[in-house]
Amino acid sequence: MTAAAKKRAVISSGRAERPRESFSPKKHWGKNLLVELGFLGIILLCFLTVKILPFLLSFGYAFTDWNGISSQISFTGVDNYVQMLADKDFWNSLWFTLRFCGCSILLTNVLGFFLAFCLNKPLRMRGILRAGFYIPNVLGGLVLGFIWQFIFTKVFPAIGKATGIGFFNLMWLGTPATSFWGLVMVDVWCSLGYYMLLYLAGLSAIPSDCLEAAHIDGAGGWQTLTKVTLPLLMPTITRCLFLSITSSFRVYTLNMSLTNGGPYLSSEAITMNIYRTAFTENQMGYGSAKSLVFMLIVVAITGIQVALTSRKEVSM
Amino acid sequence: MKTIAKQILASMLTAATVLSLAACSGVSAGEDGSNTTVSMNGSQTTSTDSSDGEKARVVIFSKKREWEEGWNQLRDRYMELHPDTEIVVNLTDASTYYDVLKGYQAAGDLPDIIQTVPGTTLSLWQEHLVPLNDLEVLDQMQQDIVDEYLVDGNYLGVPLFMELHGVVYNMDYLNQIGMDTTPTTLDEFIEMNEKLIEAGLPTGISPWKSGGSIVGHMTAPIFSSHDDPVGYMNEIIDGTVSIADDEQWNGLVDYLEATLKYGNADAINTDSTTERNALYAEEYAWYAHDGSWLTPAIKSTNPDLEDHIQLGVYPFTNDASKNKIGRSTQSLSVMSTNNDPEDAKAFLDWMLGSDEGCEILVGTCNAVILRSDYEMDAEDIGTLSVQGTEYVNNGQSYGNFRNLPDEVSTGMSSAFEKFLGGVSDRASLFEEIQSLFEASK
Amino acid sequence: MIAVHRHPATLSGQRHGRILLEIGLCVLLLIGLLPFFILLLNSFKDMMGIAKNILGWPNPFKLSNYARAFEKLSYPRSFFNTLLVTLLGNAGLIIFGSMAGYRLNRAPTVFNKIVYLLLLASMAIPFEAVMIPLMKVSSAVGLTKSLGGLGICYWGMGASTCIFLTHGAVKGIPYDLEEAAIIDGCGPFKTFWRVIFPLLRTTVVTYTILNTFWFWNDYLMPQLMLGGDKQIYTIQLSMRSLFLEYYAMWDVALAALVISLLPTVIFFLIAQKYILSGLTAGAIKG
Repeated sequence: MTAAAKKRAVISSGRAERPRESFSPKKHWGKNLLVELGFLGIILLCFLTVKILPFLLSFGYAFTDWNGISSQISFTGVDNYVQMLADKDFWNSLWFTLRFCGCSILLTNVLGFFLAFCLNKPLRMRGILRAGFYIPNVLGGLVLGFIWQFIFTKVFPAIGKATGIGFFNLMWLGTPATSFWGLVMVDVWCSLGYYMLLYLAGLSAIPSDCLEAAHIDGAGGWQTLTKVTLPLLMPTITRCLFLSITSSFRVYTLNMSLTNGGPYLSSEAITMNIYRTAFTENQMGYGSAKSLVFMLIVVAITGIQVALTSRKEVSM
Repeated sequence: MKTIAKQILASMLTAATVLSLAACSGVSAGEDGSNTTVSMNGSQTTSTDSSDGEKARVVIFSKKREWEEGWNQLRDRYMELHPDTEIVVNLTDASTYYDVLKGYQAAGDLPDIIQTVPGTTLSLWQEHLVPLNDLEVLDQMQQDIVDEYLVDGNYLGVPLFMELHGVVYNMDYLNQIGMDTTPTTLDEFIEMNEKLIEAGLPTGISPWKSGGSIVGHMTAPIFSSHDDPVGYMNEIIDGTVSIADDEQWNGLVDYLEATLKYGNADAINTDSTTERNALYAEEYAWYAHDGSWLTPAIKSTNPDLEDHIQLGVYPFTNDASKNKIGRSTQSLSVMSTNNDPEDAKAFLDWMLGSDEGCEILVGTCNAVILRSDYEMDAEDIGTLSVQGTEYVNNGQSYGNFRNLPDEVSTGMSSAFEKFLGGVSDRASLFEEIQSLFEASK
Repeated sequence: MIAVHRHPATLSGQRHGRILLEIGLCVLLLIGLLPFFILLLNSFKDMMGIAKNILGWPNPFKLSNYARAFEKLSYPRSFFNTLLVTLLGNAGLIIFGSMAGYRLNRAPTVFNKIVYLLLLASMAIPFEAVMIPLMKVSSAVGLTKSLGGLGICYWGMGASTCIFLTHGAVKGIPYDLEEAAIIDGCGPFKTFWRVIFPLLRTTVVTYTILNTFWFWNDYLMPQLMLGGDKQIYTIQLSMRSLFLEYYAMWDVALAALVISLLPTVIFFLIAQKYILSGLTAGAIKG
């Protein structure tokens, strides 16, 4: 068929009737190597050079006893992994990280969704509120931790003295419990805005017809939320969960600048443990082995998460 | 909207391309020799590029950021005297210093001169260091201090400066209870506190949030009081000696307990920044652990403090002859790189040995240098340093012990934090430390 | 839109509820922004004021903190350097990242599927774990010691998130538009840029904002990659000179922090309009 004839066919048959499988970009340009290179080439090259290659090297180090400095590197097989089994600090920090991630991810996503839900309604101050809740995300790096350390150790006691509220008079960052919750608080405070934006984008993509239809059918607010909104929001939820899991597990700079693992290593997350092993204790090989195990754990968790939530995705 | 977005994207892309081309070729750093330095009087000196291959090059990598002005002066003055040598000074954070150095090593781009300390650090980097046996300035320094840098018969570091540490006292408060010297024994320390409390005066503050300073500095009396500190450590590792029986180990814990009992209530949550701020603000009579490194900050925040600040010994025992201050020397070492090490050594000889170099180190950097015949006074190095060097000259100082295995250091630090936080007691503290040593075999 | 008849009482009840909600959110916002107020407030104090009187009004009110901060940060130059890296990093990720995300979704060959999984899996790798090998590789390839090299490094490091988000966004776009473009005679690239990319605006702006904050605040990687040459230091690197081993110049540091944050905040306030307008249009997918 000529192009012109195809065009006539398109106009005359009407979109809704043509089966979807008759066209796909894959069939059209899928096998074209030049196109593939053009779209993927540069970024793939950068990605391989900057992430994969170093990772492969690190994978290699994970089976040695390298200290990070010496030119003598000896292959030690699975010694590092045997050592890891007995390493109390490693498992403690892994457990700490799991707890931290659990709380942080839950709070960030639930609060982020809640804010997005509220700010999706026609409120007057909506624009300012949306921008305002995002602003904390501006802070990052070492500064975020230092500012909040400042606040926990100087401002909170001052407020506590002035108002007498017990919450402010706790020994913030001085006990394992306050260090844990302090870390969670700051992480949620900082990331909330970003996930709010992602949920907002997802919510606004839900056509109002669906919601109207639900209302006409007599569904109340809660029912609409759980039976209509959330299922339609699943792709966004998948995305947000995936992003928050991967970023929470890798927490390091915040951990270091806020608590530095203290008191007595009780708030040391896994990346900090890996860094301490690899650098401070001059055991690059063992540290690389730890990060390999860590990576496998995260991949497993996110794999399960994506599989579970993808299944619940409802298309329109 | 589409057109505007497109326009913005296009202009961003153009800007980025143009700027990145500029970045990659012109503005990027001088590995190709086109290093632009702005000297003190604001004029720009661009060294000639590498086609003029005769220029010697020395790259210094230091974590003494406080000395920025001094480093610049040293660099400029040396380059004036030796126009055929180019000096580059690279300053970085102290906390990630060795990590960044490892990064440079992986990149194959080591600096020529680095900061080191004796002990495990020096032996770790041993294979990259150039022996400094023929350095002239070594003869001008105290033999036992220089010998700390002896590794397998070679001097791998040259002492750069010395820091003195102990308990720091604000004599204004002590004078009010009739004391004009600092406590030299544990009993005197406790007595002083009781008098302070009776007089309604503030006692002291302890930065026990991190156990790092305890392990790094306050173990000096423990190991250095033995004739063979490393031998003593090996005995602990072998299990032939128990730390719970040792006088100095117990003395340290006695002292820590005293600070908890008489000092600020929140010691476990007090970090060194808070403690130092309290010092500059003159809020307490004693400061459980601090040292001569405070001098630049004192001079800029509260110079009057210099009149009545006093460095005191660590009162671990009741035998005044066994209680001393701590002494910590840091050094510079030369790494083997593509540049000629003789140039780096020549610079070191000038910097540490010549009068001009020492003048800058002492006058601008306020450093306590190790050249024996160089006169330093309080105006340059500060009261604490002058007092500290007096202790050193009277044989009343213990050198820092730097041969602890890395895992033992971090484990010990955490063990002390648990003790100070009330989570463990003396017996379990010693047990944990003992097992840390024995596990490091 | 179908008009729904609501009982007047419900309507005003709803309105009351809305106003309460709005007030509640505003209060929450003010509490959430408290750290910024404290930051700003204390940036005008001297060291003693910060140490002793955190919540109070600055006395004396020191504007000189900002002057000293400008000087310590080497401001025009470090700002220019940071801007350069940010622009370059963003340009690469916007252009190449979105292209890759599109391609990986539309052409799910075995190879592409593997590539996509690899990209996702790599998000589990923390930077600190591969820091040292990265230095080895990047110096071998010549990316070290230049701002351009740092920008290209960010392309590799940020690829995963951008491609992941774009992939998800493209998944929701029906084939019809590309089909129409092909019939009109467009090649693959034209199809992408003309038809798909405008629909990805929200996603692109979202990850650009996130990336900008990342590049602006990043410390360790620039420290390692740029080496010691002060001429190419970013703002974060220059700021470290305010934090000495035993003494942090908090008065100047807080002012420096405010100065460094201002451009990113302004950028965000401008950029978020693109997201918001995209959202209210409703027909544009995520």
